Amino acid sequence: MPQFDIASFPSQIFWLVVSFAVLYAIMATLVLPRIGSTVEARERKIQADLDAAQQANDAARTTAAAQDKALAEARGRAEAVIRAASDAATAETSAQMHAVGSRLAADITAAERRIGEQQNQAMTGLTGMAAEIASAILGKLVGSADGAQVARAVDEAAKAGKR
Amino acid sequence: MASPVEQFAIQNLSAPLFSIGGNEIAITNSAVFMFAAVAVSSVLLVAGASKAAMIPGRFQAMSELFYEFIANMIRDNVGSAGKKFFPFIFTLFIFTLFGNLLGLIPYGFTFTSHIAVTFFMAAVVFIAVTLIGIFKHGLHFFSLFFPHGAPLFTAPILIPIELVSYLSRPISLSVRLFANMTVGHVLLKVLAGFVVALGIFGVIPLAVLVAITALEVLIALLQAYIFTILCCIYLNDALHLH
Repeated sequence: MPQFDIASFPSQIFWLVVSFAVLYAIMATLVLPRIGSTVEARERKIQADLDAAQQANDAARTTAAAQDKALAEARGRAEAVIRAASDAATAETSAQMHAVGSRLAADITAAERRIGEQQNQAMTGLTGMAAEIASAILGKLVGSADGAQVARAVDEAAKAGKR
Repeated sequence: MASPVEQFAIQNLSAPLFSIGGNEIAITNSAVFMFAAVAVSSVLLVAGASKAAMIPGRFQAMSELFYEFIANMIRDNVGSAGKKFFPFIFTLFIFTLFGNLLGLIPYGFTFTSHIAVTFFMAAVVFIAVTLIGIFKHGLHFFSLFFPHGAPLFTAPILIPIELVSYLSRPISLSVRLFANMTVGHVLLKVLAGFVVALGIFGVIPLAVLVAITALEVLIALLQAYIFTILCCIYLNDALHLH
């Protein structure tokens, strides 16, 4: 086989070293740095795009969270306003009820007092009338009557009758 | 019919140019195909590298494919310490790959089918890797020959085995590539001989020849890959021991 012809080895190895060295020089200077920087630039671009997308996503999330928060606050404020209005209405109603109730109570008290007074007047007048009638009856029956004594007796009788 | 190994003959295409240590150096068919491998791969890769488009075209995509392929190979098998050796490994892969592929062109010559070439490359890698290992780890490098954690009394058996296994690396590395290339071309030549010899029935070996040629393209790619990845693995052993 020609592969084992040792006489050809020096020439093969010489040209191998020369060719390999030339190829190495071309690869190391003209090819690999350029491809490396292109690949790196592309990776940087992709990474930058991904970062930008991530930032936009984060910003959107922050905005959404802020909006949610604002919405919750507004809802809370609205509830507070409603509660305050409701409380005020309840308080006013109860105050009016109270005022009306106390006025009615005062009216009732006054009316009761008036009734009591009129009753007393009527009773006083009745006692006087009863005493006069008793005096007149006594005068007719007995001829004379001690007015004061008759009045006291009628008064006692009235008091006893009331019981 | 010509002998199937005649295609491997080294022929001088010029008068001897000069001599080194008594050996006359002439331009040979092997040398021409080495120049062709350098020229074709350089033209393709320089063309691909000269455009730095964000979205690559065909040539740029091909160059970047090679670049990423070898970069990933080194990253996976050697780690970040292998970055310094990237241009060498890349050149080794491209040189072997284009040598294998250009040899498949009819009437071509496959310089990787010569043990002188493959053994020289393997030996350079082997010696370089060994020196790198000794330079990096000093005498501790020789712990490579004794597996970590093995009982001490096994040393008399293990150390010679590991030593032989280590020293046979350049042989296996070079013979694998040389034998694959040689056998593939011998097979193609023998089948081609049948095509001529069988006359009209030669279409049968011709069909087989087409299939075997496709297989040889695969082997050309695969052997370049295997040669390169084994160099990476040896480099990794020297850098990180084990």
